[in-house]
Amino acid sequence: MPLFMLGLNFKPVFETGGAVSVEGIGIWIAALLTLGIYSFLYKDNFVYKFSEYLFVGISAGYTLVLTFHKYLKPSLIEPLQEYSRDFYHIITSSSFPVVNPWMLDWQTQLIANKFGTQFQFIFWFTFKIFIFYLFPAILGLMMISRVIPSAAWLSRFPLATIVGYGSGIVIVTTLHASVLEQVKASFVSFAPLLHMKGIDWGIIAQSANDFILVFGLCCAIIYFYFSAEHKGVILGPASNFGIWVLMITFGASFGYTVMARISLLIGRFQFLLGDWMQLVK
Amino acid sequence: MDKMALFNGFLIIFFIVLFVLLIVMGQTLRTSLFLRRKLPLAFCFIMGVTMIFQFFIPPENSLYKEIEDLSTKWIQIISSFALVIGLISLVTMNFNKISRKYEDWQYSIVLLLGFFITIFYGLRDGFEGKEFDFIFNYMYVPMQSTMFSILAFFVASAAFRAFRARSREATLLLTAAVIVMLGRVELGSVIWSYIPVVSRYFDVSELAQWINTVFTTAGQRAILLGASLGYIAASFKILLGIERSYFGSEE
Repeated sequence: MPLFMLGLNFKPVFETGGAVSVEGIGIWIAALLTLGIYSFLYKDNFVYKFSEYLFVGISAGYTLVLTFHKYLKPSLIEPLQEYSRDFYHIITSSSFPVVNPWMLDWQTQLIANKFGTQFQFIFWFTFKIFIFYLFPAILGLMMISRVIPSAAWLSRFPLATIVGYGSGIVIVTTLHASVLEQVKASFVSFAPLLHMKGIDWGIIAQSANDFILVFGLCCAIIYFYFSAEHKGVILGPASNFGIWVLMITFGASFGYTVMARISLLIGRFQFLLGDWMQLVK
Repeated sequence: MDKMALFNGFLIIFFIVLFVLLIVMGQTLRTSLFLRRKLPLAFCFIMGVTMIFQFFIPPENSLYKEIEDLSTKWIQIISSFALVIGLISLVTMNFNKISRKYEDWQYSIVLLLGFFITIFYGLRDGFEGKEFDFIFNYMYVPMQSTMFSILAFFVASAAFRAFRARSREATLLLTAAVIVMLGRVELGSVIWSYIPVVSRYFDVSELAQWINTVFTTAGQRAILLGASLGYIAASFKILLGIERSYFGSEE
């Protein structure tokens, strides 16, 4: 039975003139893949597996394309192309400073002033290419050596570089943003409460919130303090309250995560019912 | 032939030769303890100290900019090559699965087809290509959001099992989650209005906001402080060569 007889008006694959609609085909593919993935809610089946494997393949391909065009090309390939082009002109020219179609007058003058001789220029050029581009490329190739077990130890050099870079950055930025700034933000002022004239419920509520925040923070930190047993008049109750604060935090985070997933789910249903089945405008 | 194409060809050959030389060098020098252990540690230390040193240079100084530029470029280039290892592993694993006819080997063909078609159009035309655009808009994006949205069902079923209020702590967790969920949508306010007594004194969206600004801030700040101090300590251990697990199982 044709679908329109069931009252359904799916997105057409052909345009009114009879030509194939790319958008129509795209929407049909997207809808079938979406339903394929949702079919897992019933049970694991071949349609889900097909969609899942296709998703992994396309994701991996997309990540490679993204990395190539966003990072590798502008950071390595294009600069090497540009430098090689200029380098070729320098070594093939009989006079120095060289004038080539890519260099403006002031650039030519700058090179002449800065480097004086052609030899110095070539030396600086090579040095810069090596430090900026070839050396990290060699480290990158060393990383790939991991696939050959007898030479896998070479990958320690790029790993050490990345880990060293990350550690160095972390020490300063984390200390600043996640420790000092957080501690600074926790020093709340109760001056408005102390200097309040009459009863101002706004100030009282704000101060109460600030107090709960700081008290809750201290208790939660006490909970993470494992050098002493959580017993006694201070550590015991404080640690217990710290657990409550953390539980409320986890509960709230869970709530936010669920809502984010639900909004994605609504988005998919809007696509299926709107773009594909054209039931919702 | 186009000069750029010639250059690109030359570049590929150059990198292949360089890779072969590196492998030969790696196999020849693999017994050297200095190269295998001490020099990588020195690399790590120098890189880390340089990054710390960078923060003590005023940002308007050209040296600051140069260190930042150089380190960013290096990390971008090395990370790009690191991705290749993951992809080599993915492709070889699936080729093996197909050639040895392991269970579900047919789906590996789908994976490899998806992978190679995407990289073919993506590398050939860039982001502007019609085919790549089609794959991105009608396959990648819908599948990605569906995969994430399907988690809503699993989260709900996990919550059903985990959120039974068996203790005071579990009750707190459950209450906070329910209030936050109700406070985020219009329907939540309607449901809230049916709860006796409490709904008369408190507005659910304000209550959710209050939980977020007071309790969540306190809890997350405590976790952040603890994790950051641990992170900094681990970073020092790495820079000083005490922590070497990233070297691999041999160490």
